Order: sequence, then C-alpha cells, then structure tokens
Amino acid sequence: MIVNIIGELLKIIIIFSVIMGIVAYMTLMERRFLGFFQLRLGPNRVGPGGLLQPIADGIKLLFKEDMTVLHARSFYFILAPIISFVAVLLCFAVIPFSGTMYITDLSVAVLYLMAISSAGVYGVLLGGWSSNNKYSTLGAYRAAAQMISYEIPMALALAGVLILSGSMSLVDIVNAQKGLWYIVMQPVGFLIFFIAVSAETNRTPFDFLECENELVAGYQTEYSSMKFGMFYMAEYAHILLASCLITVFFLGGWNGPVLPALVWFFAKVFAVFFLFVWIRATYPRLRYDQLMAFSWKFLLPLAFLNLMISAVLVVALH
Amino acid sequence: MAPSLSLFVYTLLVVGTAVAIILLSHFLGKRPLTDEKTIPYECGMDPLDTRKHRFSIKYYIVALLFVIFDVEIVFIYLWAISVRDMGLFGLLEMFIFVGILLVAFVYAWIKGGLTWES
Amino acid sequence: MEAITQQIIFWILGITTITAAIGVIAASNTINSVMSLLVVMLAAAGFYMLMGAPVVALFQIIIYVGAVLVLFLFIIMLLNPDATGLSMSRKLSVWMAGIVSVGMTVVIGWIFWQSATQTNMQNVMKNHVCSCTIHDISVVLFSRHLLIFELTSLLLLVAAVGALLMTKKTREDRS
Repeated sequence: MIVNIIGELLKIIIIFSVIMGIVAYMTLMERRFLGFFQLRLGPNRVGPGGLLQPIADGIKLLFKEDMTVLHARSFYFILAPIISFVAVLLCFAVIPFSGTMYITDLSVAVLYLMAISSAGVYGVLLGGWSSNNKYSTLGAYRAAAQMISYEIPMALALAGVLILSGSMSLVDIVNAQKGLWYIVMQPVGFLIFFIAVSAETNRTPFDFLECENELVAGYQTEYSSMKFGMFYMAEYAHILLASCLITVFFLGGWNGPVLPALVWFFAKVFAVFFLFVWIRATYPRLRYDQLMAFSWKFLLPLAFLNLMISAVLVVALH
Repeated sequence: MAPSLSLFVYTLLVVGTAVAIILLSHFLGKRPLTDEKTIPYECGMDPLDTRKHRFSIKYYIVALLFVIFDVEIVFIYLWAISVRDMGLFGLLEMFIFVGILLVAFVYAWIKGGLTWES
Repeated sequence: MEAITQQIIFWILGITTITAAIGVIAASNTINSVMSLLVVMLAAAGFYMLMGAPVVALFQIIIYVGAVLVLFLFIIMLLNPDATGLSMSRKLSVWMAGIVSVGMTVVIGWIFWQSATQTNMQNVMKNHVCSCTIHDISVVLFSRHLLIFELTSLLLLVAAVGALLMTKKTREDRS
C-alpha cells in the first residue's frame, strides 16, 4: 500500500521533471535547428555544443530586474504568466507516454484537455490587459481571437478521431491504433489538426501575438525576468503538448515494432517538433485578416465536411 | 492511487513550481534602478496614450460565434463516441443538428460577420 | 474518512462560492467582477465533481470558463467601461438586479420545497446515484432527450442571428 503510493508519487515527479527538462532543451533545439536552416551555427558556446545554454538562460532570467510597469494591475500582471504556465502543464497529466507511463488515465481525457487548455486564453488576455500598454493590449486581443478561432476546427478534427476510437480515453485511443495509425484513416483531419494546433501555439506562420514589426512583442512586451520566462516556458511546453497530442491522436502513440514504447513515443514527438521548426524556418507570416478568414471560411467548413463523411463511412462499414 | 488523487498531487506540483519560480525571481532579481524604466514601452519616448481605446466590434463577433460552436462541439463529442452503436438514426440526428447550425454559419458569412476587413 | 473529506471539500467550495459571488456584485472594477465570476464557475464545477458527475463538471468548465467568460472578458476589455464611463445607470441596474434575484429566489425555493415535501422526488434522487459512463450519458441524450438536443441547435441559431443583428449598423450610425 505505502510502497504503491510512494511509487505513484515518484512517477508523477519523474514525469514532471522530464517534461520540464524537455521543455528547457526544446528551446535549445529550436535555436540550433533554426541556425542550421539559416546557415549559421546557433548558440554553441555554453558547454559542449551549447548543451548548457538553457541552464545559463534560466539562471540569467532569475537574476534579471523584476519589473512591474507603472499603473499596471499588479495582481493580474503576476497571475497571467502563472495561468499560462499551469494551463499548459496540467494537460500533460493525461498524456500516455507508454502503456504504463502516465499520471492518470481519465475516461473523459479529451474533455479534460479541452477544459484545461481553454484556460490558456486568460493568461494571454490578462497579461496584455494588465500591462497598461497599447501594444500589449492589442497583441492580447489578436492572440486571444486567434486562439479561440482555431480551437473550433481543432476540436472538430478531433471528433473524427473520437468517431473511430469510440472512447475519450487517450490510452484507449492509442490502443485502438495498434494496427493502423489514424493519420491513414483521417488524413484531412490530421492536416486540419496540425494547422489549427500550430495556430493555437502561435507558431510562424501564425505568430501574431508577437509580430515584432507591428506590436513590439505582443502581450509579453512589458514582461521581464522570470515572469517573461514563464510565458516562454509555457510557449514551449505548449509546442511539446501539441507534438504529444499529434503523436497520440494520429501517429499511433507508443505503438511500434522492436524498440521500447517510450523510444517510439519520443521519436515521434521529436519528429513532429522538428516539423514545427522546419515550418517556422520556411514560411513567412500571414496577414491578420487572412488568418481569421482561413480559420472561419476554410478550415471550419472543411472540418465539418470531414466529420460528416467519416461518420457516414464508419456507420456504413460497421 | 485513485486517478483524482494523482491528478490533485500533480496539480499541486505544477502550481507550486509556478509560484516558486515567481517568488524566486522576485527575491533574486534586482529592483529597477530608475523610475524611467517602469514607464510603458513606446519606442523610447513617453507613452502617447494608454488603454483608453475601444476596439473593433469584430472581436466580439468572433468570441460570440466561438461560444456557439463550443457548445456545439460538446454535443458533437458526446455523439462521436457512440455514433457507431446508434447507426443510421444517430447519423440523422446529427445531420439535423449540424444542418440547423450551418444555417447560422451561412447567415453569419453572408452578413459579413466572418470578414475581417473594413 | 471518505465522508469527512467530502464534507471538508464541500464547505471549502461553499465558502469560496459565496465569497466569490459577493465579489461579483461588490467589485468596483469590472474585471475583478468577471474574475470573481470565474471563481464561482470553477467552484460550481467542483460541486459537480463532488457529486460524482465529472462529465458535467468538465462541460461547466469548457462552456462557462472556456467560452462564456472569455466573451465577457473580451467585451469588457473592448468597451473599457471603467475608463470610458460607459456603464448602466445605477438606478436601472438596482431595479433589474432586484427583479432577477427575487425571481431566482422564488424558483429555487420552489424546487427546495418540492424536493423536501414530495417523497417521489426524494426517491428519484436516491435511485439516480450516478455510476454511469460517458457512453451512457451519450446514449440517453441522443435517444430519450432527443427533442431537447435538437431544440438546443435552434436556440444556438437564434443566438447567432441575434448577436449579428445587434452588431449591425443602424441608420443613425451610418449618417
């Protein structure tokens, strides 16, 4: 009994530390990959091959001036990065890294993900509003409007997966993909999900929250020291979450021959992450009206069509 | 351990870490040296005006349509996990539901609620 | 042990709800008011969780916290009523609040009275201890409560049309 509880606690702590470690090193990976894409080296001075760079960044951020803007709503100003950080990291509670390596397996995991991740909008809105700066406020509106616009196609694309799996538990969904990955049965759904999720995480070509030539740095303009660091960590944790979700929903999760489950899972996650970096290095930013029109006038009807066709096919073949 | 308990422990861990990081940077970080530094950013000069603006109504329409589709998605999720067992009847139900909502969607499209320009 | 824990959680949630609800009406700043409402909604989700209905709790969070309150926050930030002096007259809002709260009290009181006096109501409560999965909920919703489900879509349609009409320019605005 006691051993059991200690084992569970250890598992939770290990999963949390691994997530935080990966998030820290994703910042380095992205910077080095981007460097190579742009024919330069990227950060390679701190430690062998730049391996200690994230730690150096963290320590530097901790000792930076901890500023609060004049006339800022200081309570919400501090609360906003915490909300962003917590909302993303709580989602990892239901991600199954392997058949046994997960914090909890809820039967309503997909709803849980939707509920928790929707809280992320508050971090953006409150952060921008409390900064008492017009660039921050404008950036917050734009980012929030973008996030909620792309949440609908994303959720509809997921519904296609739910029709196939017949369950909302992520462990069940991965187990259902033992034979065939859902990317084969839901190619359109995968594309919609991938596009919508990169808009949700505010990646280029959708990085409107910090289009630096218009909005300085969007809602993060007035943030400094580790409060900025929290937004930064939340952003990368969100990208990791997106990679994990794509792996779980479309790429068969931990399923794969020969190699252990965890290796397969993280290989797929990093492949998806590399794809995100590749896209960032390749595409320019869209225009804001194009971005909104793309979600409402193209992705949303397409997602509905995809959902209905999959439902008809599933019922017809059943 | 019950699933809700592990979730609770994990939540405590995450929130605790977040608060600890903020507190740590508060105590370790320096204070701003001058008051000038705490003035809102405006390309190096004193800010012209603060947030006493009112913004485009488009944001409101987007948020409102989001509420409507969000409610719809909750229903679609419930339907999606059991559509296989419900067969043709279940399919028909959802076609009617989505059909009625598509009327709203088309109406919004025609009325320009989905267009960002102007 | 289980019962005591539940009692403690119930009281914590109850006190939080009431405090936050007072905050909603007492806050001078509209954003504080909305954030208090957020706490009320989260506590309500906690109550559903306590009653063994996690699905309803998650729906509560998805719809109210994830969508409705975001809309509120959006509007308040867009209009900026504290800075632009754009708020309803005090007298009118007191009257409206009075009517709504009296109405709600009557409705809730009636439900209380019903559940306290009618034994079949008490039996219903006892017999429906929820041990159902999300599948069961889905099947019941799409068979027995089909009409309500379809009517919901009509309601959403009306809401969408109303919202768009409200934002339409009137003749005075154009000139």
